[in-house]
Amino acid sequence: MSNVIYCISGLGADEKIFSRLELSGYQLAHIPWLKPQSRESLQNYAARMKQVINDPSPVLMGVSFGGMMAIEISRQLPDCRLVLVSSVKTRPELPLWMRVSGSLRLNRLMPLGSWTKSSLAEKMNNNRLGVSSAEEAALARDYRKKADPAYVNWAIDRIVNWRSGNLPPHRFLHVHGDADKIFPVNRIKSAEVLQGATHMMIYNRAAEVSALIQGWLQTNC
Amino acid sequence: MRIILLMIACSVLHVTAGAQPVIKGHVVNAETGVPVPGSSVFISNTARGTVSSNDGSFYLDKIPESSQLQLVVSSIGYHTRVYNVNSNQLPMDIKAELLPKVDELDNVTVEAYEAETWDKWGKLFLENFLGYSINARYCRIMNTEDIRFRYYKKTNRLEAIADKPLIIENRALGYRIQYQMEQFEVKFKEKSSFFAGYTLFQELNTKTKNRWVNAREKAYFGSMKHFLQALYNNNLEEAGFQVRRMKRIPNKEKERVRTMWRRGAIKGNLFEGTTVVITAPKQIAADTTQTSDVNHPDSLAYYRIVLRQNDFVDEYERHTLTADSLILSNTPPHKTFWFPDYLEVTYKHGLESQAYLDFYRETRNPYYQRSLIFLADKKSAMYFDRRGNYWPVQNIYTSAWWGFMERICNMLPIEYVPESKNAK
Repeated sequence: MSNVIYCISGLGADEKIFSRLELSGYQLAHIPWLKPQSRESLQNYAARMKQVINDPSPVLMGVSFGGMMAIEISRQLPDCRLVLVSSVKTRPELPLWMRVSGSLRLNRLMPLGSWTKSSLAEKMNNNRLGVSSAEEAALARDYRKKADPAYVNWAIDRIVNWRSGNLPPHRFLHVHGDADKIFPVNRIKSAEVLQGATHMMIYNRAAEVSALIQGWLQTNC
Repeated sequence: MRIILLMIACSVLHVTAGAQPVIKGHVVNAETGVPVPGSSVFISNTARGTVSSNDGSFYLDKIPESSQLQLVVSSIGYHTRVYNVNSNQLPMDIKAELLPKVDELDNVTVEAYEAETWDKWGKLFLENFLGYSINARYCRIMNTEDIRFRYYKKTNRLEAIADKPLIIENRALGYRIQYQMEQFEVKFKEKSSFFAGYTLFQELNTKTKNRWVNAREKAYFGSMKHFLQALYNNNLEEAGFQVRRMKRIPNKEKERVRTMWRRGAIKGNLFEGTTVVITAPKQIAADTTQTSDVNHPDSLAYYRIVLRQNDFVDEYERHTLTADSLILSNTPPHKTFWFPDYLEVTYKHGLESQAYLDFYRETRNPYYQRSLIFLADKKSAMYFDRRGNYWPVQNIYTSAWWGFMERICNMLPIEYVPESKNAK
């Protein structure tokens, strides 16, 4: 049994968000986001991301959009375990406004542009993420600055138009915060719910998230 | 209208029939695909078990509700297979594939099994495995000849191995226990013992069942199972449990002095010598400026005092905790809890037994039943459900009252519910 956990970060984020996790006995291997081809399907993208994994039965951990990607990758693997943090497992777990904007193609009418760079938009965004300290705000700002618009537009399009189908038959752990404003908890099924935790909980509630993951990994090894 | 009602009734019936807690399947040899008849199939820690029939098939019903059950499939000459089962996902159909055991060359290993096995280690094994409490006297292992021992001199620990499931008759609680031992270890240096295995309970004799009702209740109230159920139902107070946090602070100064002494950095005899004036340790730390011999931090007298102190100081928090402050996440049908350091759990509806006091050579009057628990891997949460079933099992350590009581002789199946609700 290998003890590597393959981590996929959230939209536009990088391995820094996993830096506060403490999982004794496990190594974290971050799979970086790739540059999407134009109109690339999630399946295709997942197949490209999968190439780094050289483990017959890996543990995949995904945060937010990374969780959706982990599910897509796991569909192409015969045996794996999934750890999803602040993510969604199927399309019905997406909030209504995302599904509607997907069907109405709002994201294509109004793609990411200069209006998202304003300080007001940033404030709103931080509020939705659940940023609680200056350090986290700086991290979020850094990700916004670095994000490639082509990638972000592609990712948003893939999220709102996600046709998830059924969950793959792998064992999974889903940890979610009940104060998550991006993916509200009321639509989320069979998840471990952390009280008062936001979308940033992998970073600002890392000790508790680690505890839940560690306990689950020990039972499902 | 009547037809519609009938249809609704039918659909309701259909739904309930579909969600029956049943596991069926068949057991086959993983290499040849040939059915394995007579293999034992059971849910660990419950009374639900069966034996596979001639064509290798089995059928288990009345599976208790829990999101983490272990279905154990075993047969002599095969490696045991364990399947994690969630009772939400029943009914289930399992094809259990058993790998045949290749002849293991036990006698060629470097550290051979002890020859005089049972005579030498039997008593110690029984005490650690069955327990030291009164109930242990009514327990018997029917096949002690299947237990082998291995003692590791270098690390000072003892291992026990059983090739066949142990059959234990518990005449105190009325169970016949089939115990598939996976691990048994006593570490003499740390004074700790650890054992793990899969348990199948059988009622000893259903005719005289009433005799055991009281004994089982006595074993249940104040147990860890009881505590976890109270924690799940958020009624610790009513159930009689008081929970406080505890911090074990190591005596750094003593460790420092001890390593110095081991290295040979301290010259002179530490254990004999002139009478030592014993001052409170805190004062010593505070008044290091004094020139008096005892208070000088680099004097023999000072080292003598430090080495007589305890290895650690236990600091208890004053206020008691509610269930909410321990629960990490709440996802029926299970919850998780998590805490740093130690928890002190006091059961206010029961006193320590005389056997307990004798065992620890205490001459005081019995207090309330007081236990300490801590998580072995301090960063990992414990999952538990409303039955008091918990996992990962290897992660929680108990000492004091539960360390004494939570052994095979007081073990109850997952589905056990006290018959009368008189929690004293």
